[in-house]
Amino acid sequence: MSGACEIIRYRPEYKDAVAQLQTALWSPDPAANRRYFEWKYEANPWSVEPRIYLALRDGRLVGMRGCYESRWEVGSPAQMVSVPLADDFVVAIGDRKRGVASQILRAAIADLADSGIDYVFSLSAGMVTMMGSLALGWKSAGRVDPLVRREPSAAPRVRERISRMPVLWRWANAPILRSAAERRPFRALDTASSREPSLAIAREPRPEAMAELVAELGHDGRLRHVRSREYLAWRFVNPMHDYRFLYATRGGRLAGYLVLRARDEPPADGARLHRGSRGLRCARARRAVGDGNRSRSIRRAGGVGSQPGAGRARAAARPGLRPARPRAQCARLAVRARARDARRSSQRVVARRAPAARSRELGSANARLDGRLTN
Amino acid sequence: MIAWSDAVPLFEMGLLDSLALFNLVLWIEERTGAPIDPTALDIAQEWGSVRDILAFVTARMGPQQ
Repeated sequence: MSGACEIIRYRPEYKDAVAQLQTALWSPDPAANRRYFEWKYEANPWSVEPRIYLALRDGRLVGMRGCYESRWEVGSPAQMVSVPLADDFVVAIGDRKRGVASQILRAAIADLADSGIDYVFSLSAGMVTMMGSLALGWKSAGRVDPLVRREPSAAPRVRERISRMPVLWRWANAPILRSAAERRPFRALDTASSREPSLAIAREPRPEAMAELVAELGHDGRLRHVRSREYLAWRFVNPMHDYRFLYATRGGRLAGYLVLRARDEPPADGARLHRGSRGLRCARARRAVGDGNRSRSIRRAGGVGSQPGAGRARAAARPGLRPARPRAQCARLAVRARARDARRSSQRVVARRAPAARSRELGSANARLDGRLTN
Repeated sequence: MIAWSDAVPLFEMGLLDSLALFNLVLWIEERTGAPIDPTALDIAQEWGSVRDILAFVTARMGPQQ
């Protein structure tokens, strides 16, 4: 059988097929995948239209590469740039090792280049996907070193041992082998009430106040997401994740916030600080992470992690956040590509649509991007 | 048919996929005893062919090895 596929742009009639295909990557539940898809690609505040590439073999969906829209600010005064984020790359299990990955990745980049897009970012590549990206001409623009805070528990060691046992390895990630904190990392948080009146624990984002605080604090010119009210309102209603919000107030105004996200990757190992959190700059929120007397709920969570910049990493170390793994093993990278280089690619997308909005302004800001990524 | 030579472009011809590249990096690390940070390289250029990879390894290890 030929390894060649037809690469097309996403059309709504493929939504169910995408939800099914993504059971190999997102969730085993197609209905959950459909909700996630709608949130990520259709409700995206920056989205013009979903930039999703599908690989078809004999009319059957066998691969997908998604690019969702993001908006960044860089420099001082801040310059806004729109950049597609490449993500959600999956090939059907039975169609792997047949060149589908290369075809779809090349076609996606070529089509983006033809649409006038100069740069594409990838913030979530695992090690193998990252290798494939580098081989296709992507460049590393920085490393994101996740931090974690784990509650001492025998559960991970038990799982590790079981994962090496014949037959039993299949159940190494079974829920019964997770500690209570791993199964419900926010349980203690939800039942506790902060003893400090100026610190509130909530389940809902406060995008208006959060955006106002971000604008008030300003930034140093490094590249970061535009944290507008629209973005924050969208960002924290991801149907795949469970969030909690710590709000510190001063004089009735929001003075800092901290977003925690329960980790859902098996084996679950607690909660992590959202990388967009501003709260670590707030002494009260910082104490809340580390001080069990004031907020025993967070202390009792299975663990928290973060992807902060250097300053916030130092602050995070105080309440016990440590690098999740050696730097050499950090698989989550920020990568950028000069998409226009791909125009020479012979792989093309069928049924190409009208060119999308251009993002050439990033070119002039390029010198500021290298090594200056911020969270 | 591919005319095999050390100069055959591995990525353009689809001869080296991401998993194979990952394994190759690990193998070269193991054989040379030196860690490789692939993000510090221009993989597409510097490892584009067998000849390029050999040149890379030779440069890292020194010609006497």
